[in-house]
Amino acid sequence: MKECIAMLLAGGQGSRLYALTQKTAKPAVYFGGKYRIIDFPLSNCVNSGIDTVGVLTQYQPLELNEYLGNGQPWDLDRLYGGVHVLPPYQTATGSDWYKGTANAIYQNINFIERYEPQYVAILSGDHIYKMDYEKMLSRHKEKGADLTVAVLEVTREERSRFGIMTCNEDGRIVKFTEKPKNPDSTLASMGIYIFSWDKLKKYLIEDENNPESENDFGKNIIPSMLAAGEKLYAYNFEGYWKDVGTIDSLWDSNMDLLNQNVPFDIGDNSWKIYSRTHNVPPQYVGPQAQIEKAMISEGCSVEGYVDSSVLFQSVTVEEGASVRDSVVLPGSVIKAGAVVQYAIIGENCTIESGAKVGARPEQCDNIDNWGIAVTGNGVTIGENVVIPAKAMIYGDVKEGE
Amino acid sequence: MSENKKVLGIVFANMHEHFVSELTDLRTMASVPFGGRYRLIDFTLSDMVAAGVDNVGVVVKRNYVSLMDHVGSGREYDLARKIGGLKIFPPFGERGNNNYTGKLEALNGIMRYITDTPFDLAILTDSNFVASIDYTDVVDRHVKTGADITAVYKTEIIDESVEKDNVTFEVGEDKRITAVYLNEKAGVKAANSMWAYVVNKELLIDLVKEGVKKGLTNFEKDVLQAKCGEIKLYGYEYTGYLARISSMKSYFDANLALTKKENMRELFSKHPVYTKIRDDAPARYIDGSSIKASVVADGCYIEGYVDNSVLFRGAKVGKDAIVINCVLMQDTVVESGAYLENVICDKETVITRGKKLKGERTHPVYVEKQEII
Repeated sequence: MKECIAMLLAGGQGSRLYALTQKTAKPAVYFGGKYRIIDFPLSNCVNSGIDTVGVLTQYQPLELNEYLGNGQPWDLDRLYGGVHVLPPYQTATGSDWYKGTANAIYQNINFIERYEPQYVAILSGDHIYKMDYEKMLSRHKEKGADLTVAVLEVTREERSRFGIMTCNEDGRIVKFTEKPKNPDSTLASMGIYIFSWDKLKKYLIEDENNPESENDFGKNIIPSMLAAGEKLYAYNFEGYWKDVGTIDSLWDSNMDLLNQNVPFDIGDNSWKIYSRTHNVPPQYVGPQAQIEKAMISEGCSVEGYVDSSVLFQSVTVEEGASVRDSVVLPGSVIKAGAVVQYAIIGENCTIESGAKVGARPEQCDNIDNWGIAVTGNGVTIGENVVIPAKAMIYGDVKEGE
Repeated sequence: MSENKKVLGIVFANMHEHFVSELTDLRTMASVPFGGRYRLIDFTLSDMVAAGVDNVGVVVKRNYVSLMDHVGSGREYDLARKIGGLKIFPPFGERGNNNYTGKLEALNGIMRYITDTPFDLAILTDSNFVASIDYTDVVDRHVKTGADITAVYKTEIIDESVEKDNVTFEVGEDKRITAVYLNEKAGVKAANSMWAYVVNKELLIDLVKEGVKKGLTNFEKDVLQAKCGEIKLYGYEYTGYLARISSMKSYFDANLALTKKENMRELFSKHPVYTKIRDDAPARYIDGSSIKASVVADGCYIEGYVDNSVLFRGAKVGKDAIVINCVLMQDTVVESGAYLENVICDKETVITRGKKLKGERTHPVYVEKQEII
């Protein structure tokens, strides 16, 4: 048996990432020069001593399945436990997609019971953060809680986007409201829960039998437990946490890695973030290269100008090309004379010479029309083509178009 | 692999070590760090794997902790196999003497492995060079010529550093080797052996048995040279990028050669070169840093000035520090304001604030592992 196992909700479509999630689930989206979003919760699990993780997939799971493989890169290839991908499946009485977050766990009660856990951590595959779940579990045990919800302080403006907790002095949750208009607290749920398994199981079964329920943790399970007087506690998280669900937030949090004032050290050896890495040579920096502020991965070849940008593995920036304030995903080539600024360039794109992708805010007449330009995976932007700010490019653009 | 021949790889990890005794004081030749994120053995293992070899024995003699740590179970090379895969052979204690003196003796120590492993041909190789050898082609040619042994060589001018450690061949039009010479003088242009051979299984077993009986130990002298007329010995000319690690200078030059794009391409474009994964974050360049003509691995953190250098994983160059023509191995820390020119820093060295170290291009300064200056 295991004391605590984790269930990672990885079915998110990430629809607001548009071209970047056409063929991949949100947790498989690239982040930070060599990682994918799911590396963060998975590494947190391993670093917190959790060696059994069920990954619930639903939307475009192919890439994510392949990426996780046998879990070895995260040290999650275990004889008993390890990482398991759990897609929806068919049973004797029928089959169903995962209807909601709670239903996804409900459908995998059998998986959880194989490990006879006392506690189950429910995590989401959508966030960038480093967190010691072991400390949260200690608090859960200390308080004798039935459910502990990780919370963080948000600003007044942000409150309406989150589930907001109101706590008493002891940290016990007395009120929970999803996306409230006028909340009386600034403690937002991070979507990270630790449940005592017997309680969670009971509420999952009840919830499933309620035809009115949306089978969602925030909307159904937590309110039911609160109404029944179960012991719900908040666990205050302090540190960097970011939902990278939109193009802007994805770009922002990549830029955060270049900002020494942002307290998020991705290279901290005491809390490593593991990922499946490809064997590529070290990066090559040419004699004419000019690199200002940047995060650059192995396999890259830089002979041009790079400033305030994150380059993933095996990106080529030719001599005379310029990349500024941008994120370039693996394998893309920025040809001589091309200019990329305020952009996210998808995987294996080619930006031909003279092409311009994105624009600086001050270059836009109307700042409302400004935004990060994005090219989807495998796109070629032809010679001298100009892609304006905020554009979302799904397919090739030829010269003259 | 060609013609459905099954091939076994045998790597000798400790040969030629005394030529770079500083680097091999605490490690094998095979585990000498190279090129920002590799050890010398990575190139050989990757060449073999690319040619479909899935059985590799690594024969070690001493100092092999770092090598075992590096190759692990062989997983990173796709050599962690249920059937075959990577095996490491520590010295075989025989006759009260814990060590062998030559390859024939070493091979005798792993005789059971050689006889029990199913293969037709063996690739025997030392670990004192960096190259990208197409073993599929070498084996093809070996089979086509009907050779007993095929020796890989490069036509080049003998370097001073290998004057006392080279094997050269007289090669005919048809690539048949007609004469084998030991320790040719420096400055002479010759077909210089790369210490990599393809040998037929039965012959290999016979040669080792005969060697043991007659007290012969040296493969090059007692087999290649002595039996040159007797067996079908053929040459395979290698023309790609080759760096022989035969002196500190050659080690230094070979690393810095990678700051030239064409060398990087030659060495890395043919097939992937595998190595141990360390899970470092991508390299960080901080505002105010400046870098050109260099090779940089993950985990580096650069605040200062770097020119024409090779930075291994986790190397740090502080603010206003200057690094020119240097090889900084894993986790080297160059503190702010320090100045390094023509320096090799071994693993985990620290060059403290404001210190200045300057070697010559021909005589680089070497800073020992974990030394603090």
